[in-house]
Amino acid sequence: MLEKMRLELAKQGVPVHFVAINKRDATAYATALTNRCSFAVLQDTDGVQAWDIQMFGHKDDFYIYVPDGTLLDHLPASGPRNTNLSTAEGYQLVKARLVQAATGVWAGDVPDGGSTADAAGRPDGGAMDASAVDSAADVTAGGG
Amino acid sequence: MHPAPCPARRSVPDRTPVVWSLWVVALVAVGLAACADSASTSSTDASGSQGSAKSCVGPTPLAAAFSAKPGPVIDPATAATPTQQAPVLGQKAPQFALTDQQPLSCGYKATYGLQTFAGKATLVALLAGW
Repeated sequence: MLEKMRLELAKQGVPVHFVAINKRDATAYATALTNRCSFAVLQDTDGVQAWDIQMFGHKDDFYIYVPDGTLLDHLPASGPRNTNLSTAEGYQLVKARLVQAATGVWAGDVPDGGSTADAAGRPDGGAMDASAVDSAADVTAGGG
Repeated sequence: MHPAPCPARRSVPDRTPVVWSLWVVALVAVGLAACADSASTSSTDASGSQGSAKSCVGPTPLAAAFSAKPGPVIDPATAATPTQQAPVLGQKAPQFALTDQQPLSCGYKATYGLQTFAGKATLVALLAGW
């Protein structure tokens, strides 16, 4: 799903990078990720422990950085916001947040959940941008 | 009335090999042009950066990254318990370096961190390959 999103954004001319950090005890399964996407897959290690000590995150968490390298949003998989990419709502939220990070324009209308603040600024009641949101029929099952 | 007799066939040099050669050259040229166009398009789609001639995805790390080791390495015996427990919005991406396992990535086998992605909005996903 992330690869699908990446290709969609590239087609729309939205300049974004995608990167996955594979869990440190899933080293043997890195190819399961690399076979399903074409973007960078960094392998966490016992020594670095990027998941735990650097990112303070858990499996399937998303982090969205703006171009200057600062964190716009942390979307925890277990948080109040739906970030399940197999659902239209989750897919649209992540994609819209990424578009916002790239362009500064909020392109979705998804509840914030109250856990984060917008570094880029989100206009109240922002209208849905059809070019940045897919139809539910376009969203297929399958993670990562 | 008898039809006029056919004129004697002139001896014409056989140009068939030359014609075929020209056709083959033309077809090869057309094929190469089509491949070049296709490759250019696919690299643009793959990288998402228009006008790029590279055929890999994502930013290219510094040359030193290709001989670097993952770090910083935490010594569990001496590491203090981090006081920070959650990512902070507006904070710069943490500084660490890990090795890229993606053969399609421009940083394949290089060891680098999130700073390499600065300049574009970036989505970082914590995934487990199993």
